[in-house]
Amino acid sequence: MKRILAAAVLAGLAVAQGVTSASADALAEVREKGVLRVAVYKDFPPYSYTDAQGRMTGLDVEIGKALAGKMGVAMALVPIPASDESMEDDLRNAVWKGHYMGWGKADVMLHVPVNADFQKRVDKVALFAPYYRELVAVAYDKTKIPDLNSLDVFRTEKVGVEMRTVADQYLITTSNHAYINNVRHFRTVDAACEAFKAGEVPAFAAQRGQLEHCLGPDRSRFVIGTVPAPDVRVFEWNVGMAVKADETGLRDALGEAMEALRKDGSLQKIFDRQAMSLNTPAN
Amino acid sequence: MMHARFPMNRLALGVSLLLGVASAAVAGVTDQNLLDAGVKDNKSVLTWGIDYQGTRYSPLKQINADTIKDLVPAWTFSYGDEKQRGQEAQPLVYNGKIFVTASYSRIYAVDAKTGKKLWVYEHRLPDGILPCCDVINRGAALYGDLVIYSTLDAQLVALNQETGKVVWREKMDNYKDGYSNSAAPIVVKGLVITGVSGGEFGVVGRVDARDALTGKLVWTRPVIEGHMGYTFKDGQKTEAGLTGETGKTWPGDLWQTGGGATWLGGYYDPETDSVLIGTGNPAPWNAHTRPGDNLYSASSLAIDPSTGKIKWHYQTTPNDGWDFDGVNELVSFDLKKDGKTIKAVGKADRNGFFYVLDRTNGKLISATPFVTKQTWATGVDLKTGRPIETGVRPGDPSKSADGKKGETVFSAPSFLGGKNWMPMAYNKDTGLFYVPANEWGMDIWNEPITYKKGAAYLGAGFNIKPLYDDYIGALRAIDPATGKIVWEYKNYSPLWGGVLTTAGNLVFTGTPEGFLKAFDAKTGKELWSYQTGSGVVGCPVTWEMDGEQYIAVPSGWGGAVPLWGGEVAKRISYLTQGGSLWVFKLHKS
Repeated sequence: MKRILAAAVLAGLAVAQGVTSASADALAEVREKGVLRVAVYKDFPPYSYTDAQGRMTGLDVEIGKALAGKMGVAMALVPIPASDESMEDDLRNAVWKGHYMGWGKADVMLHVPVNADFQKRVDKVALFAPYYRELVAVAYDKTKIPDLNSLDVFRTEKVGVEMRTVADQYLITTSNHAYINNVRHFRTVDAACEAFKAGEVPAFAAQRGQLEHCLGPDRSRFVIGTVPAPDVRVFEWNVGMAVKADETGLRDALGEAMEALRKDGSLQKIFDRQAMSLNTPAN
Repeated sequence: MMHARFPMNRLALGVSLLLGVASAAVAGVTDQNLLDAGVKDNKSVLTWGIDYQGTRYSPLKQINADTIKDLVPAWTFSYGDEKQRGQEAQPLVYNGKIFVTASYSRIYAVDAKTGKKLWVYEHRLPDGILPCCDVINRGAALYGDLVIYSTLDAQLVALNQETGKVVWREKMDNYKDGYSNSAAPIVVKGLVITGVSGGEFGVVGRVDARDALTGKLVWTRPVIEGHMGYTFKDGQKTEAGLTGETGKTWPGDLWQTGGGATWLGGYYDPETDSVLIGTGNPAPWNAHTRPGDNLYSASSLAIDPSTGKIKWHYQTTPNDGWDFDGVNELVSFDLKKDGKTIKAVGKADRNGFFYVLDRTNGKLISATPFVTKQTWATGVDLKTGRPIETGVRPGDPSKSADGKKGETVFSAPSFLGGKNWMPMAYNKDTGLFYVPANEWGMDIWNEPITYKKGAAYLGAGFNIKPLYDDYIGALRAIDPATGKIVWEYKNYSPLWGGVLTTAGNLVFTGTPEGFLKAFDAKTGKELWSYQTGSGVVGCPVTWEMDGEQYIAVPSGWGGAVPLWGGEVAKRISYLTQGGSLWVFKLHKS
């Protein structure tokens, strides 16, 4: 049994399951135990994923470690599977309730979009401390696509996307499905990257961090450019974190830790190590 | 004929060879037993649907409209521990034992006379699985001395009926790729036949057949056009032809991840030798991304159980945009119309139409509404078999990329359907189908920007709403010859349990409020009810033991409604969870 639709209205759920907000002081508990539980997505390269040695690694894992370090505690990672519906589910599982299978429930979740509209919809959590700005971009092979100044290039050229992403949704529907037959779908961002590097598709649309990580050192053959579709707001957003709405002490402590990481240059170093650009969050 | 291939049957095989009785190769439940189940044999309940055709009709009549006032509990059995979530199973009864599956992929064997627990098998589920819709299981299958059921991490497990020990265990697919399973398997001609469940992450529906005694795959048939089917023999994989024609009703490469999950499993019709199975909604959910009919999503299929070939298909919702899964059960029956008897099949679809098809060829005979409101179509064209759409469809989320919230559209039935998974029954004495329906719609709109896995996404918001103040659920008796609703019973909360009907002129079903109820099959008059302590969303069964007729039903509220109910959830928020099996018989003073 399935439902299709993203962005469930969760008010009904909260009523149904009798959710109450416990007002335990999470910050005191973190300090007492000396452990900060950090939720990150499983299988989400290059932000959080398992490396060849079987260890969780990636941008968000490094940031979690650095945050815990600044607070003088150890990090305990809580990798969570992404809901195929919407992030509201992930925030419920990772931050304010836990999943009914018994997993989830961390002190803080990373890689959460931070903006006022989204905050209104997820009132059980506080969104704060954006650490960078993500954007959807297109990587392309200069020898095949000299200039990507219009999406009309994809009337004739193929473009790879990870399925069920905004790049996928946008490219197959825009301009009255003009590009639908040239959009090649891959199950994972890694598979799309491999196909792109192997020359199976001359272009690859994904989040900029994913493109940068994919191309790595041999970036010179390729261009990473913005999606040539003006006024499309969905292509940029701030990435930060979330704690339970009433955990103001923990929120402030994490916010200060993030600010300190930015000021002392540690954040920049983490991005450099991941070969990713640190774009400053916008208001 | 199947051969015995595991140690437990060596003795039986030896004896049968000695006596030269070839057909006795399988000890325990045989193919003949399954053919007789619910038809000639009423001392057991051997298969999902009670009989192969899925009528959920029993010829037993000791318990009848006159005697039912004396129906009392014989015993009750608690599943125990903290895992009290939705109990949607249909119990099986064989050889003095009841086999019942429970939430979190558990299965119990209980002494049918006393309710004493004989064994329990608790499948060990991996960490971090993400079942879409509660942790339910709908039941098991019996074959030989095995009891076979599927698990939330997409495995198929066969246990010894006596000991509960694992005899074989096969991975149906990778749970990490979003696959899961909760439907009851069926066994046809020695093959255990299953569908697959899964969400949006590129799952493609298919039907698999495995040797019931060993678990080895025999054939697999994808249900989305463009995919190759295969047969397997002695470790050799052989192509068995494409499903449909690649790219005919799908744009681009979208058929490759096209959905159509067969998450409810199927029934078998011995008369036409067909597995009849429904397919789920196409993926992705946004219909605007996949112009075309998207075959064979949201369809009914007849499949040859020996080869996996699709004999016919009938699509109920072309280019589905409402999550009108076509998975609902296809119940075979003899339709008497204009003095003729037609081999027909009935289906109450999520989309609100009750379809009658000719089950020899899939041709549409009739399609009539079984709910009071359908915003998406005014009817079905009997010539073309296609719905007559109103044009009321949810908007295109890519249009919200400009940052504005889209227009709200009210759509009925809601995505939970005019009828969801809960199986209906057909009574050959009254000639009526008994359909557990729900009256609800949904507001649906495009969100300016939603987020998925930390990234922007063009999503839709929705809110399920009851259509009426006084009821959502409606058990309806439908005459398949005319489409007329002969009687109805209204229930305040949604109906979410299976139906049983008997020759005693009775119809049984449960309610989330906790009652098992019995109705007069002809008039719909409520004759009996019993409070089981938690919501009844399971499937009642009946059998005869030592000259007495018994009724069994699981009790335990849960399933998709509390998770996805929107405004409806407010009506059911007071209901408490549970997990037990109730067994009833007539009181003797």
